[in-house]
Amino acid sequence: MEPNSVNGKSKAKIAPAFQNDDFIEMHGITKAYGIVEALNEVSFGIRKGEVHTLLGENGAGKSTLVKVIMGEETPDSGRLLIDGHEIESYSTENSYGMGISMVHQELAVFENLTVAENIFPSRYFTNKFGAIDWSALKERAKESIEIFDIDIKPFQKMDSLTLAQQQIVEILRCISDNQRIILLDEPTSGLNNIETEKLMAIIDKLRTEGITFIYISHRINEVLEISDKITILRDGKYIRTFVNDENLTEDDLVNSMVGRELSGSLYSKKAFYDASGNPVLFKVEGLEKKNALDPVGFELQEGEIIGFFGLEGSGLNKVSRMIYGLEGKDAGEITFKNEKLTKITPQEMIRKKILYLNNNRKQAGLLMNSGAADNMMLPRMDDLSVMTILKNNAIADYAEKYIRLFSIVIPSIFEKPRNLSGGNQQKLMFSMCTGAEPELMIVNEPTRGIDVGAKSEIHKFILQASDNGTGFIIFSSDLPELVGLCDRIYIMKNKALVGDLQGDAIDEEAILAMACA
Amino acid sequence: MAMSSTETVSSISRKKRFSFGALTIVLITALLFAFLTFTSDTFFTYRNIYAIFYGVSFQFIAVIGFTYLMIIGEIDLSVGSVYAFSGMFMGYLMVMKDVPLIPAIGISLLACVVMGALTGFLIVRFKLNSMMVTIATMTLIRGLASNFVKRMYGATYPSVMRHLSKIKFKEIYLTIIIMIILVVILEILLRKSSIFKRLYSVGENRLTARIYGVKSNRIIILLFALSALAAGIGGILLNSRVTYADTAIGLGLEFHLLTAAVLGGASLYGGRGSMLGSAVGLIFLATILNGMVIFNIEPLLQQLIVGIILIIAVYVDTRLNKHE
Amino acid sequence: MGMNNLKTNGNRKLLNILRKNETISVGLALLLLVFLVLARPNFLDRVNIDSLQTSIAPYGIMAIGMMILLISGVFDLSVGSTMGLGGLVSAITLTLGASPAVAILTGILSGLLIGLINGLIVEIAGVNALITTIGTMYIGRGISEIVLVGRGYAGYTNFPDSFNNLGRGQFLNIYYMFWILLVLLVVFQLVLRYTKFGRQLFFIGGNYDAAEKLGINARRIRILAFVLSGALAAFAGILVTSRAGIANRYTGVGAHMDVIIACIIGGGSLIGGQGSIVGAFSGMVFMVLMSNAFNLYAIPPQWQSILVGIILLIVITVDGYVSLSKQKRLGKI
Repeated sequence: MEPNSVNGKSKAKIAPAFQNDDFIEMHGITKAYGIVEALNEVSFGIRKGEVHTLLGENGAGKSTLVKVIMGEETPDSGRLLIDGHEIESYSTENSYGMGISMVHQELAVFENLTVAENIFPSRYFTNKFGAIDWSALKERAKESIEIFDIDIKPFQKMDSLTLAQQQIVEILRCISDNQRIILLDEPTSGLNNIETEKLMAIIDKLRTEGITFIYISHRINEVLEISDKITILRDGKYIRTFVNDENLTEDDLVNSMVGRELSGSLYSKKAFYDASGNPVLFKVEGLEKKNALDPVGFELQEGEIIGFFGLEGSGLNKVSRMIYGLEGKDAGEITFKNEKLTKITPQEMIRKKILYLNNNRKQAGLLMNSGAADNMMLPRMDDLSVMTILKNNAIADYAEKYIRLFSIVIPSIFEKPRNLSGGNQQKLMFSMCTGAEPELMIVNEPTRGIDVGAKSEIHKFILQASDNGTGFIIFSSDLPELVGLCDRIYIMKNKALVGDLQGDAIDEEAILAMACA
Repeated sequence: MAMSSTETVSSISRKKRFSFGALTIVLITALLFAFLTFTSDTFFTYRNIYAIFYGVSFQFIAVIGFTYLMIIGEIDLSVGSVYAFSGMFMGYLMVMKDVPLIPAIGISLLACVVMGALTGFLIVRFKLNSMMVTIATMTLIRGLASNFVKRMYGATYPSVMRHLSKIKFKEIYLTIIIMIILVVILEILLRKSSIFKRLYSVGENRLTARIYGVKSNRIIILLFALSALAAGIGGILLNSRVTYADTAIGLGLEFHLLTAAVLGGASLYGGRGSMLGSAVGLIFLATILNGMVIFNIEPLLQQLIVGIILIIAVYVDTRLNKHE
Repeated sequence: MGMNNLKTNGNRKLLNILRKNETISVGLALLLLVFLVLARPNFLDRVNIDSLQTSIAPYGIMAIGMMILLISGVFDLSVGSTMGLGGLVSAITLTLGASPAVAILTGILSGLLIGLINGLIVEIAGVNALITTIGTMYIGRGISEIVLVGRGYAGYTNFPDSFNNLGRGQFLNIYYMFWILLVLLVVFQLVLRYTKFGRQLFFIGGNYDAAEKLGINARRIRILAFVLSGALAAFAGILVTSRAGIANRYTGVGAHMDVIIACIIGGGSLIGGQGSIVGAFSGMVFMVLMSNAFNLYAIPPQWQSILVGIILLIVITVDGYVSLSKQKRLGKI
């Protein structure tokens, strides 16, 4: 296959954003969360009976757009029309009423109930007395199950199913609901090849019956197989829509997903540091977990910064948690400074001067309702206290030092993180780890949801700290960030490590291509 | 907040804003005291106040462990049963097995600690709901306690044991002195000690605490053991005061302590609580009951009032804390 | 990603039955029953069977209400005091000259009201169910005491025979109240299995947020469940009162614990989403039989508490362990 590119020899056909008989129309949809613009004037249309894929990196705006269509979020501005009717107020009931339903990534299942009830949670098949007709339910469930031809019984308890099977049931729920518009968010992430084939066949069949599918997936070959049209989103903006004909290639898609104006880029790539002669600081071998992670192995040498990239469902998060001991592993050996670590727990890690930065500061990583100083001293409590009595002056000095170091805008060391901006919150979290004088930092999403200024400050820190001898393993779904910071990048896909790129070989498109498909 | 993150900071305040979690209950109790003083001759007498504090001092020791558990977001409904058990076990050992005072205390408290630790272990290991588990242990331990009641055939405890609750130090009951000392020490520690800061972090966000190396699991087990120990000590003293094994000892104590703790600022959702608050909460409840006696209100109405207070207190707590 | 191993139909059916929560309680109850029938001849004495029925019936009725609440994810600690109040209210109404029918209705109404209050505070005001129902328990006890002022130990007595007949009468040698229990068991089993309301209880208890997203009015259903629990508890109190011929302050004291424990043994969970009428019934039967067994063997009652506590611990721990391994299997932990 000849290499194509959008600028040059690509023969891909670009579709107009809107067409005459559009079933779903989005005009100027804009949504911001604080300073982060999740969607920026997104406008395009989707036809009835079309399988329309949304493609884009993490943070491109796909999930926000989906939330708007589902009625879970109200856009700041813009209009959404379904079958000509404009949505006046956004709510899940309204969307459901308009015929929209979704297969979520986090399954919304009822594990305490049977498969059949999970397929038809809102449908009560009643007999002529008004009582629930269980045999009718069983029959209908059986029909649905047979479409997929998998070995589950209608009255099996949901919690006896594997994750993949639960996912299929969730899909069946949507399909059996006879809604007009079905959104599928990474539906095949838990399925094997056969099951995926079946799903494609079902979608194909339903499409001919007029059901419209909005499909989100990183698996480019699937996307190329099933889609009629593919819309690329990037950084919250609508980029273009491709017609999925025989001329469309994977490269076209990846190029569009990445295609940033590289001049004046936010992240100037740091000079590659060849650490190949240096001793190994941190080594992982055979890290695995049943149903969650295939064996992973990597190493970090002194002086370098390595990164991990992966899209949703790639297992990225799991790896970061498992090497720090926040989650258990089935197998795997971790070596730090040539010493095999026997107990992988956060306490042990901190003792060895390895710190962890959590990926979702709202969930964990910061005590939102305690003062900043209280937060900061958490990993350093023993040093900052005498016979367990806290040394208030020492703590105040310590807090002030790091607040200044990271230029955190905060009126008082007792201010609570929830009153700070996202950027300052993130910097606070960083200072907590840095203050413990780590030799290695495991960073999970260093700059999620913060403004550009704070992002570049944090990047500066990381580079400075690395120069001063701190090792970094950075897990991120922000590709340019990783490219700018790392000497070597490992790529994860579908719960497995699929490759790594180093130095000059690091290239956004190459990485993204490995992470997709 | 659209504040840029990169403005330079010239001065950062070090002044701690005065935050006093137990302030509300202290104020309310003070008001109550004032009200009763002005409306009754018999309330503000040395004897009456002394009696209130004496009564509360027995419950206070048990509320210590209870409050700590609430801070980390757990609950121990077995405190009432342990309260009964510890004194009765000790009495049994002394009366029926001729065990001397100190060893009897030691054995009984050891048993309490073991039971508490086991409870904590089950909850941590199997990720169980502490309410459910402690309902089970509550029943179990109450059964054990009743067993000892039977075996003592209504005998009174030996006089050395009965004397424990009556020990005075400079004319004031020792238990009251201990209570005051403990309140002061523990309250200060809660604010100033690293151990207790860790507790609050576990209660506020268990995962965050774990990330920064706080041994959440170990702390939970420890606190359940502590709660049992505290209830055990309190129980020995109360049994001593009652002078014999009365089956009613400790019945409903857990709910009483819960009310007091919540009044004092603790939350069912964890992350908050103070010793001073719980102590004042106990005093508040005791004063209300005392006031009702003074005004000849049916003791029967007392339960009603306590129930209403409880719901209101938690309602306020829920409105304030649930949204966070 | 592989699929489950194929199991033959027969094996799967057996496994499904074994996995049902109420298997433990039914098994325990049956075992105990058989044991007692064989080992203790006086178990089948008239007096004993009577006593069994008049214990199982009222408590079993309360367990139905409690199980419904547990399935939907909440519980009610005030059932004991509601039981007492139900009896008292009907007694007072009788004393005021009303007919037994009216008295019974009024008693049930009082339970309905308490249940409504519980439901409103928990679901609308958002106060935790534990606290709310402890509070209403205290309030209920307090009201009972007020109402009994000046009445001495015996409370209200001397009811007309037509009233007492409810609790003392028999049909085919089985107490009316036991028949009523059986009818209620069937009715509520049908409700849980065949009505929209019944199924929605499970949805709410299993995954509250997802249920709401489906459009289920979770709050309203839970309030209804509280109301039912209150009504049933009050009715149980009326039964006890009419049997004993006395309405005093001791009725139902501590009953909430026995009922909750019976339900947990019977497969319910404080976390919600699971439980069954069969479980409630067999759990309660087991508790009553055990108490009976202790009587027949003249074992002091405190051993009962110990045994119940141990069984409860085992049930809860096993339940937790199974739940944990399921999560591990799904790769969630």
